[in-house]
Amino acid sequence: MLETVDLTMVNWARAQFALTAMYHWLFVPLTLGLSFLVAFFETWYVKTGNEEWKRLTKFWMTLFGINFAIGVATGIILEFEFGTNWSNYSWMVGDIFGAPLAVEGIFAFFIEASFFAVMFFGWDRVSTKMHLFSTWMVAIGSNLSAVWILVANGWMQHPVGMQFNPDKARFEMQNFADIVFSPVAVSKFTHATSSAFLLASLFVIAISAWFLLKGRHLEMAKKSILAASVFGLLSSGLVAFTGDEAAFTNAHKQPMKLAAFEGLYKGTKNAGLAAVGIINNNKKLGDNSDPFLFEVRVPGMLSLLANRQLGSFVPGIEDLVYGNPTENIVGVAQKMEQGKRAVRQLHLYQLAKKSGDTVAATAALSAFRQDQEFLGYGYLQTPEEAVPPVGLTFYSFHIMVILGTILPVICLLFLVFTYNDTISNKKWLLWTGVFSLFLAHVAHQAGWIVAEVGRQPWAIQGLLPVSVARSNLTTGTVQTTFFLFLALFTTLLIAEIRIMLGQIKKGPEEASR
Amino acid sequence: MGDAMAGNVAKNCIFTMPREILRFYLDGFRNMVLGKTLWKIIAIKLVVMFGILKLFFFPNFLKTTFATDTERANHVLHEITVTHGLHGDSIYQDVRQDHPPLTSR
Repeated sequence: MLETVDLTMVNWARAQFALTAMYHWLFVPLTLGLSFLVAFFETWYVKTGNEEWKRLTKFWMTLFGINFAIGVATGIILEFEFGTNWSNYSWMVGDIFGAPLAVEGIFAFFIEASFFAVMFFGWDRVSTKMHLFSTWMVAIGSNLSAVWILVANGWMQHPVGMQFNPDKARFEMQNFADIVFSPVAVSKFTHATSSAFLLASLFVIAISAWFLLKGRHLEMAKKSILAASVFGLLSSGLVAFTGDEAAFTNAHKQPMKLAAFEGLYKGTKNAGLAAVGIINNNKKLGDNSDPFLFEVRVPGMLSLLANRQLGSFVPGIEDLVYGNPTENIVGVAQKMEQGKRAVRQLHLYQLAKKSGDTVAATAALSAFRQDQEFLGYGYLQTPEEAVPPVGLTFYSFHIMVILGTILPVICLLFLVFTYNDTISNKKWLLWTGVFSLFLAHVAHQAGWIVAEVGRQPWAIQGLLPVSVARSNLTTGTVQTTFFLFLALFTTLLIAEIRIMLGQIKKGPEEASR
Repeated sequence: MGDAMAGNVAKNCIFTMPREILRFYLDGFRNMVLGKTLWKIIAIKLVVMFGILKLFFFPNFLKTTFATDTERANHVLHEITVTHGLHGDSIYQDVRQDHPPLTSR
């Protein structure tokens, strides 16, 4: 049967999932961050009673509504793909993901049906405080509904709180708290939401900067920039803190990902952090060629990032693949042996159970349990398969970090010059502000590439590679839907941009209707 | 007397509140300008997603191929052991002969 499996289907299914997730992630961070900014604007209006803040709140709320309407339900397509393209995976994780995703669905429905309606329909129909409360509830609810999908993603990167059921072929939840509060899930949620706040701040800055360039709505634009740049700066601090936490978690839970995004082939003590570099595409595992054509490293910083200890050892890709007895690192080959034993014992358990041989079944199950944590390695053909695409992971990580360093500086400059009321004269900064929204989106997408490409070949870390997670479908089927999605999402994106631009052109007077 | 009055107030609330809420939503929808366009986009999107994509292109593979959860579990077990797992294993040949791939309905 293996000979007839179309391996390229996996890559099309992965491309389709990446396409859907990346388009979905164009809309989501804006919803998460802009909802809070709108709530801040409205709070200021309620506090001061200044109608200018109300006008401003309504304008940004309209843009929030457009983004929400276009983006809503695009994530459901990911669930379609799970059921069709990734049926083995879907079946195996159904018990873990069922509860969080159901909670998300119910939560989102109630928030949207109640507080959303008050937020948009309730101006002058409910009390000011009730309206403000609803706006805050939309902000908090939208962000909380993101918890569950990120918990699910965190579990895939670091599967905890479960036990494999060999009769049902399912990972079954043993401890809900372990799953929700897993360090990977926590750092995923905090890093994703804080970076969403930064993106939304830059969205407000970009549009306000455009107003200033056009000489329109000057007071509203300056007020918006002040609030957004402060929010952006605070968010940037949180992004840096949670990013550091994510790197530390990677070093201990997914060391291969860390080695890949740093292009570190040979582990070392006092490891340096690659500030910039050009990867040598001809580099092969185990050869002596330099992995970089050019690099600038900051000495000792990677050890500090990975272990919070200068001089500590950070394993490289080759240490993780081939093992390093000095540092007690087990190589992939040994894990593959254990994985193959687990697969074999799982099968023997099935056979024994079928033939009614309970003694043999118990023995096989016991043997399976000893090696089950390496189950996924049993499906690899060579140790080198455990290495993710190094170039893509490295460049994505560094683009994310470089932009993550530039964007707070942009927020700071906007804050300083707006506070001094000289912002209107700084055309170069205003254009930078307009362009910064694009940079923020690039940083966001790069971040997800690091998270998802960096964990290849695993659908579930160490337990299930993507090649086994997929369904038995033909490549053509997946190709067709890939292009259908490309067309659908591009249409939605064009619709979003056109409607938004229309509202921005109209400005706050018209847009709030 | 007081109890009767309180009862009437409660009864009025029960009848008027749903009506008020309904009117709140209806007025909100009626007075929308941009919102009407956005709702149309949402409706079209949902029709395309559920009426076309889900229906014709994204059947749930296991649900449509197998009738029961036991069959689904057996299929996945076969996939993660025989199909993908035992290739090259010494028991691979025996397994292939004894346990041909499960047939779907």
